[in-house]
Amino acid sequence: MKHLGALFIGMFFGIVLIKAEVISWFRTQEMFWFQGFYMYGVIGSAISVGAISILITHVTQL
Amino acid sequence: MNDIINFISQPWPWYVAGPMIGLTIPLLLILLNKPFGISSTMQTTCAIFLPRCIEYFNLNWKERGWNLIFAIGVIGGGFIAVTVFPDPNNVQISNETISKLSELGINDVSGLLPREIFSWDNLNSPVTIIMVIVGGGLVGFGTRYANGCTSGHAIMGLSLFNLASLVAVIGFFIGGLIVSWFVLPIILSVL
Repeated sequence: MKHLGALFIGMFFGIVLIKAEVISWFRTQEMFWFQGFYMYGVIGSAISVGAISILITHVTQL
Repeated sequence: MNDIINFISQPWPWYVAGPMIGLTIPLLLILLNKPFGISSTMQTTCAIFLPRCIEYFNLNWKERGWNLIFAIGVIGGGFIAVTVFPDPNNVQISNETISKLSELGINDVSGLLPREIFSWDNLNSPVTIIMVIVGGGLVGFGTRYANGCTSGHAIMGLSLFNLASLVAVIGFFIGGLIVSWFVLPIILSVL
């Protein structure tokens, strides 16, 4: 039961992976063939949100 | 309730999808105080089934149980996504990609993986079975040799401005480019 949080965050991440289409083989090919912006937008904004949230937690010492 | 389900089911634009992936980092960090990553589950699983065979797998896997539960959650979430929030349309890839795929012999762009490559029927020859096993082995070995996969290095590592992660991600990308441009056409001509 102590891992219930990990289970729910994992489920959130699983839903996001599918709906964001980042596990789509077609999206991957589009990215490596430089034929679309979508994956670069997803990766760039994911890292931006991650970096900002880590900076906030460091500053506020959460 | 149906409105909410329909709202989530529609295709997500990149500026929604990306931040949602990024949000997983503070969720794990603040709620559980854990670093975000997936491929370490490979080490944890091997530690359970092959204890003390190899020094690398000789670790107290019970301390990393959260990691496996997280991975099980990801699988469950994926199942929920395709059953509760299905999108009947194809992934909206560009027309250039569709025509390049068709030149390589892939005409069915429905779903998330090309059925012409990934199907049980294709597991009928030793070549494809070896390709699947070697491919899976390379992914497992590579991510642990690099100490992380796309989740750990690209998302978590780059969010921490970690130089080693940047080198790893550049490596992933070069590898992906080589396979997409040069290896994939060969594999598809063999299939």
